[in-house]
Amino acid sequence: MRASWGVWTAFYCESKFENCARFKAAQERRPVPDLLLPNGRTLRIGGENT
Amino acid sequence: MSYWPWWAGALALGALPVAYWLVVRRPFGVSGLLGRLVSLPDEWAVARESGAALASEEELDALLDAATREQFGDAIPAVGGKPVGPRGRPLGARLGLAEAGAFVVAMALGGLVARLYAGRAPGPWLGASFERAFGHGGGALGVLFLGGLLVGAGTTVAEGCSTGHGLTGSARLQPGSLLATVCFMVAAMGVSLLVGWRIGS
Repeated sequence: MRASWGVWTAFYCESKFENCARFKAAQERRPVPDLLLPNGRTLRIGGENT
Repeated sequence: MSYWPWWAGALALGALPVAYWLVVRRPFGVSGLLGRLVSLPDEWAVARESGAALASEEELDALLDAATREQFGDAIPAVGGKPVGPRGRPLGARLGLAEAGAFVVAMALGGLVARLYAGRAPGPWLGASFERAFGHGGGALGVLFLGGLLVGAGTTVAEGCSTGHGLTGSARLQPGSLLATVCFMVAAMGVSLLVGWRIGS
């Protein structure tokens, strides 16, 4: 998909995955937004990332 | 009434997770596919809210690059570019409504074909042993409904079913899957013995 995504997977999926916001959401059976970053921030189209 | 030879079923069940991985690039699990169908409306709502559904690939690339630099700085290490699974293997995209729906429909059709091949009429009943134990009225339907509830609750708690844990997870020697498989096999044998005892008494 996107080259930058590899950085996130290296730091979260392959190391401290228990800190990953996407992992936590899935563990809590909440829907995982496509734009949710592993650090808990959400990419916003046409606005500030939150 | 005739059944397919056991080895044909074993080969088909063994080949399915492998073929699924080769084609879809994701671990195979029926309950996961069913759960995906259930959760899709929630995912669509979240995607609409965040604007993901409206964004172009270029917009997403730019946003992600900016967020990546913000998080990790400009000295981004050179690593691969695809989402990966627990063992670092690249994963495919999650199945959409059409693909997951097609699988569920095909699963029901496959069951129907097998039932017809075995010389049994289409219907919700599970055979002579089931009818001897529970009849074929409202009580039997209630038993099936209760069984479905237990399967749904069990697969949710265990995060997988007999395909996800028993076929895919066990083949990958995942400790949780091996334990889950032992547990539900022991439980299934115990319940079968109880039902057999009920029929015999």
